[in-house]
Amino acid sequence: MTGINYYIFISALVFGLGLYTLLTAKEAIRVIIALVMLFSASLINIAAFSGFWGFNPEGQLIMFAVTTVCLLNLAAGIVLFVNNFKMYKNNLIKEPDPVE
Amino acid sequence: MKESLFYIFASVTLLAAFFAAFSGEVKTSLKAAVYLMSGITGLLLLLNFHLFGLFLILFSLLLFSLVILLKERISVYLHDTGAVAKVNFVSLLLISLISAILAGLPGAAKWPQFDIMFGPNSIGLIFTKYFAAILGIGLLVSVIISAGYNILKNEAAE
Repeated sequence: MTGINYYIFISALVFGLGLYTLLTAKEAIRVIIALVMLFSASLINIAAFSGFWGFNPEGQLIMFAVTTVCLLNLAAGIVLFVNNFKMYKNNLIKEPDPVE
Repeated sequence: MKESLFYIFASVTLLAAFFAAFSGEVKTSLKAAVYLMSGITGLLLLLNFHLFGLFLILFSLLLFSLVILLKERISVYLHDTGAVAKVNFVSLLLISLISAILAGLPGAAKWPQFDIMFGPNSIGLIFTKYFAAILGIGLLVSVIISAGYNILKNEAAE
């Protein structure tokens, strides 16, 4: 029988991998992927605690809030990324000087 | 049956997370992220979060179709630097351990009382309990679609 500790273990691993990706990311789109991984880990955790603790509506509400924030983050990240790319393309903002 | 399903979904989730974290190409990371979403959807289904599982799988399907349909357009925005990240498994293990302990702390007090309740979370609840959630998600989807439409329109104008 799979207990809550299995879900916590998976969530912790996904969170760790997401944090690692976030810290070592060199591309903007990878940062967005890492943030989605972090939010997904928290989703598994909340679902596990809510499911094992008696399936109360608070868990559903928190899940809804986290999902909304995750999707908004994703959308905002993509929009910012695409807009920044366009500004670079049109020379509206200067590219940063390489650090020596 | 439920246990074997759990192991399948868990392995899909973890493999996808590893690929998303350690793959050299961004495109592989993007695909792995979609697989990660589907694995998490399976785990949510096992935990009786059917509605959220449904939303998540619909979202991942949408993402997958967008990646396939807008392949050429997306490839404009992807810059492969070819850089391979250095792997430090000790720090990764430590971070996972600390987050596991932090996540387990609130539940540790009532650990013996944990038991899955297979209560009703049926599709009929969409029209009663989750109506506000549906409205919120509809609003969010409309914002995303209008933002995407604006981006595409601006691109077409250039």
